[in-house]
Amino acid sequence: MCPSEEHDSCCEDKISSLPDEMLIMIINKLDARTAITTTILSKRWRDLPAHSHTCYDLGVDDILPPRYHKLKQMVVEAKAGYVAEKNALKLAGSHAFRDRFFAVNDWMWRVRRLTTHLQRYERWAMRRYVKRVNAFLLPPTNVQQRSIQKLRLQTFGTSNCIDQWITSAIGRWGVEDLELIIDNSSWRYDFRLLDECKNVRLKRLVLSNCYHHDAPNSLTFQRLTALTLCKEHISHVCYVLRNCVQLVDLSLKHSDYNQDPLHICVPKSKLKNLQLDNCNVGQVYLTSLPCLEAFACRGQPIELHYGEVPRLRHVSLNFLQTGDNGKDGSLCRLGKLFLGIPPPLEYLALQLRGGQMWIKPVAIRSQLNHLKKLFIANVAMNWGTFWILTLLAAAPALESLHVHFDSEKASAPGLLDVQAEHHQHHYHLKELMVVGFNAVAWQTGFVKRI
Amino acid sequence: MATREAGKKMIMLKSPDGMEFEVEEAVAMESQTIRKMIEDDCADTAILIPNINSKILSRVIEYCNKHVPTTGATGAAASDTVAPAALAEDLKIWDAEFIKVNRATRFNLIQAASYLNIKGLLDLTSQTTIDTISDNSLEEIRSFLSTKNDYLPEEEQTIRRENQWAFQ
Repeated sequence: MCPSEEHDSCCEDKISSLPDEMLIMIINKLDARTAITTTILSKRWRDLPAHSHTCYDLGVDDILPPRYHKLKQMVVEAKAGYVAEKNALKLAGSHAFRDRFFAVNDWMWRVRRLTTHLQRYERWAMRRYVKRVNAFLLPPTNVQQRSIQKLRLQTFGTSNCIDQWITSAIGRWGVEDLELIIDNSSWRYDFRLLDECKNVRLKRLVLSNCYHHDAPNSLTFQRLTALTLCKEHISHVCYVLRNCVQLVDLSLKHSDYNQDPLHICVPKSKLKNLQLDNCNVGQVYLTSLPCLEAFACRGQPIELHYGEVPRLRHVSLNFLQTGDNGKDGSLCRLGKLFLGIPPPLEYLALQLRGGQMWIKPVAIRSQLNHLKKLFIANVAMNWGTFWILTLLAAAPALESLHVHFDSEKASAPGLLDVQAEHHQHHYHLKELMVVGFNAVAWQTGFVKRI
Repeated sequence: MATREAGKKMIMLKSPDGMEFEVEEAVAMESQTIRKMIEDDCADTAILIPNINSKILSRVIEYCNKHVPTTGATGAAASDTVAPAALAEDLKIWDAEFIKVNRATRFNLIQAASYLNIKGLLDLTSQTTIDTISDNSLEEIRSFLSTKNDYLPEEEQTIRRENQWAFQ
């Protein structure tokens, strides 16, 4: 032990005195690029038998300095200031109009000036990024081959090289798992370019702001098993499913283009898992998906219609009620989640957030005869529980019920008249779990009723 | 082996400089190395922990005390009101304070965590090194790790050429 260990200098050799295993552990925790840069530290580092990487994450965000993120925050604040001042201008009387007007102008110039700075940073980072990815994906052929299983690319805006990157990643390197994220812009790639490549192993694909619909019958798509599309037009779902005949997992994120109902009718599809994440869609019709086993939806409440989904077992709905709620129109009828043919559900998870109660306890028409597990979370304290009982009444075979009350919003329970009579006997109910149980009178009533 | 009130099993840990620490068995079992000794019944009397001086060992015990999973014993009433997320947050803040030590102590802690096989502590102590390597230039990393560049210029060139993208 060093006698004067308070001084760093005397013990500076410590880390190199760590055994090899420790250094390997440290290297293995680094991302692929940084791990490779350690080989140049010294021969000892080069010769460490660290595991070879197969996952690479190349994002332009890694190149941007911390100063950029500070600037970005300033732009957000300046924009907010601009909007606030503009609103004040609308309300201002004629005497204050002049001052306000200049203030708005000030904010506007501020936003513009900062944005110019931001864009300069982005262009600079993107230039470096293009060089880096070119060196990575398009090296001269005499460079030692490396194995790339998983690759993530994230760009700002587009570059003419993107086509070459995709072709090389999938065609030359045989990437199995590709994620391509294009921020602030969009790109169109024709996946038929890959049809002649022999080495295509792509199974999972994530695309954000990258479009592909001009490529019908692309072989690459026919082999895909998992696909995630961000910011994609929701109406393309059926088209995608018909194209990707092997697809098992499909996930759609952040598509806010329209509010048309989504009809999915692809009788030949092998899709098992479907996920909608913050998609702006009012109604979902699962008209025909013969292999579908799990459906998950997150974001705005939807109306859910079931059709030919004989294997659907899991449904998970995580809704956030935002905007002006409390009016009658925003109440969601519980029945809206179970329209159409009664699905053979076994597991149902409901998470409903929102300041006010917005579930209307209306009897459910369809019977959930197979439902075994019911999981209800984020129930605000001031909500009634009648709708849960309605759900229970519709599920005679239930074995397990979990209800999690949100204890953070433990305001005074207001509207509570749980005067429902509960005749149904749940002979199968084996497990009951109520979390956040504060023995408030109405909750006690709820448990007794069960 | 001593037994204290509430029937908690106590374990005696000895550092090579002669200090003895009495800790609860559950706390000591945060270390997979000690757990194995206890399970193999090699822990009848005091366990000698080689290579780890009393100063470092006391810090390690401090860490284990904080991170031992809180079973209902520590006040059932309290655990009802404190959400797990808040607890985790507390622990994170505590960790951040805990690791504010000089480099030498940190390296000793890494070694201790590695020998005693305490995963959480190993992650925590090695994170600073990982951050340093991730965020700094090569020269800065070399001086931080006090590693000498023993490459010939042409050898260095070869490595740079082979992995050109990583050095862009």
